[in-house]
Amino acid sequence: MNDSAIIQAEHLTKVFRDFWRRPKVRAVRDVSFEVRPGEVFGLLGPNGSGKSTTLKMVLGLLHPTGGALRVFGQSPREVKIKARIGYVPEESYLYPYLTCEETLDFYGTLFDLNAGERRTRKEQLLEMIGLQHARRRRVGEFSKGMARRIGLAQALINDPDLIILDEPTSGLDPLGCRQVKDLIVALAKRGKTVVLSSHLLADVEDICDRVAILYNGQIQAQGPIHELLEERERYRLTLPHDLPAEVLQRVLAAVRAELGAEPAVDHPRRDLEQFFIEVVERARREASEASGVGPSPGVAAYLRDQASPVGSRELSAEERQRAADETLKKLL
Amino acid sequence: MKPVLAIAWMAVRSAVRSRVVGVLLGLLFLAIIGLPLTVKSDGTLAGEVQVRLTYTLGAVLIILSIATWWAGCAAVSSEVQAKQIQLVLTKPVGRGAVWLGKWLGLVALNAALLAVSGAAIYGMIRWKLSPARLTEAQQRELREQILVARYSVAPQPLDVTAEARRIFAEQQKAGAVPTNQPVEQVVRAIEESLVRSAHTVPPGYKRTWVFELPAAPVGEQPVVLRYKFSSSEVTKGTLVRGLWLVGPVGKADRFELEQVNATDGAHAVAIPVSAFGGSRQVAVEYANINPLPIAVLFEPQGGIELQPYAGSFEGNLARALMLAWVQLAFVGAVALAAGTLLSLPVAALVTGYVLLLVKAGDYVALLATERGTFFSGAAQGQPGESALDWVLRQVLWVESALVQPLQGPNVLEYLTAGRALEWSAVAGAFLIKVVIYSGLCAAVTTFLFNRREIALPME
Repeated sequence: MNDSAIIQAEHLTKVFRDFWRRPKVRAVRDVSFEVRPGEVFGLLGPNGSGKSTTLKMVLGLLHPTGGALRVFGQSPREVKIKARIGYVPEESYLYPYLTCEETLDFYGTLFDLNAGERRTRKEQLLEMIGLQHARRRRVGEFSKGMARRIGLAQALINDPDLIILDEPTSGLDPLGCRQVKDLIVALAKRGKTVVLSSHLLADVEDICDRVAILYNGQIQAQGPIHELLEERERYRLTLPHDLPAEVLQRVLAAVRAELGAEPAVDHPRRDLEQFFIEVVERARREASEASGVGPSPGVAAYLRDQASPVGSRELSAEERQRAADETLKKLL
Repeated sequence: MKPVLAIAWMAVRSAVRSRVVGVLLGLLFLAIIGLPLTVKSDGTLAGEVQVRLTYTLGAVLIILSIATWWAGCAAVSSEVQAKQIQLVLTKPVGRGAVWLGKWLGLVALNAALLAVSGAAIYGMIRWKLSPARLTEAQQRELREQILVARYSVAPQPLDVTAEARRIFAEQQKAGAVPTNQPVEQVVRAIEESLVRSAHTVPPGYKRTWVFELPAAPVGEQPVVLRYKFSSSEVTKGTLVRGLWLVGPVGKADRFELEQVNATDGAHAVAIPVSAFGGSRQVAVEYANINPLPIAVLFEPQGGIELQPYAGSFEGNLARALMLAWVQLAFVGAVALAAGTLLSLPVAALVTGYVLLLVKAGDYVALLATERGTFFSGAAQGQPGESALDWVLRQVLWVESALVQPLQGPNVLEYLTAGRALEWSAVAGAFLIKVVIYSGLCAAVTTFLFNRREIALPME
């Protein structure tokens, strides 16, 4: 085990008992993992696999039945370590009678932030989640997606070192999902540690450095995501989009001659999420008025790495493709 | 402290926005304005004001007690159920601070609601006292008897111990004492009988009580002699003629006042300050001059008392409201403690049990003594007392020891009788109910709350 690990779990077990203290459900069984500084760690698994229970033990809301658990080198029940943690629960457990602004102010006060700091961060967070126009609306009146955004903002009010997100994209539209993913990437870029649980595999694949896959309370697989997913015995060849047809034919002929087999050729498809975002952004530019969530300028300034703005970390589909091509060129 | 105040403020804000405060204010005003229209007094002006005060302030205290009971139980338990507490407890806030914040929110709300209710009740009394409605004499009568704060001074206690022992020894020698009765119980019964006869005035006789006042009466405010008695004539409302003589001990020149009173209800007469001759030691004599042979029995406890002036009604009302606030703070602490550790319905039941126990403190204390009889029907020390009786008596003794310090003056009785609620009583109640008992609730609850798992699947 690494002493500098943000979270260290060794043989973690959680048994839920009934009124008579008899074991009822064994939710987590002998789980060991560690989360290192600055990484995005994903807990994957189907419903009831023990993801949320594990996170709640990390947060000190549940107590392990067995094993050892350290967060920032201390017991998760230690109050002072919570100043460094931001938590986004699976549902938005907010006070319905508080307005958007009051909610952020309330949680900021719990972190003992001074009034000026709270005001600055509140403004930036409201802008980031696109709810400036709804700042005086009560949270109880919000749609699920809007409430999720406030839930996310409250978790960032203290500029945490460790962000724990339980099903972070649940209830969000694709735009919101993308924003959350961009945010996670931006936070990781700034050296923050992120732990998230999800059963939406595409989300995890996009942003996680390492994952642990849970089933029936046990870790079934664990490791860096590229190691787990990479099929080292197969290759994919991506050609530039403006390649003349005759050049393509020559390349294919060469491949056929070399391999003695017909290579599969088709057109690459755009990512649906990217396509959706482009359509909505275009519609938003054309519309003069909109209800619900407003446009977001990106991650709040105080959460950004000043030396490397988040915009540079936000990879488009083309950029990802180009990076993959370069990697492939080096390999070949 | 900032997070604690933020939680308190959030609790207040939620109560206001969820319309709880609005509904409570509506109910309080309905009670203050509506109740006096529906109740009848004994027909006297003093009686009418007493009834108004009793019903309005009583209703306010009942409404706020129930609201505090419910809100205290729900404050944390509902957040555990709705899971909002999970977000709060993942912030750097101790669980004790969460408890304290919720409790401060409750007491702040109660303070505001009591202040508004008190102002409304006072406004109603002022309206009643307006020159357009009452003559100057009527106003003075109210100001002297009800709308005032007076000390309550009981006569010096009679020492009947030696006499009771002597009678017991005589009766024992004569074989008149039952052998199966504990000695102390028999002696106490003889003592009670002696005290009762010392408060009985047969026809044609007189009886004197000596009072030690806190200070020699001065100023213009008279001293009120308040008394209640029964008579040997069983017919309800029988009128009895008596002569009161009041003056310094050992002086023959005394203030005299003849009174004809019904045997039911409390009576009050104003004694001018001049009657006391600057003395703190006062003799009050009652002569039974009734033409018919009727004996008069003054109640040994509170049957006769002198009430020198202590202060204004306004000050007394303020202290009464403070005592009520202290009581509500204690109710809130118990309810919040139960609601922090248990689900809402269970917490409500447990709180109800504790408050009932506190309310019945005197009865529990009585049961805990040798007078209580349980399974075997035998009192303590009597032959046949079972082990179960003994165990139950010990449990009751512990309960009694815990709830006895919480007993205090009945705010309503004191205020409506014009009896002074002293600052020392307010300070004492604050120390016991807020500092010690609510502090104890906070400490025990924090200890257990720290060990409680908050995100269990069934919650």
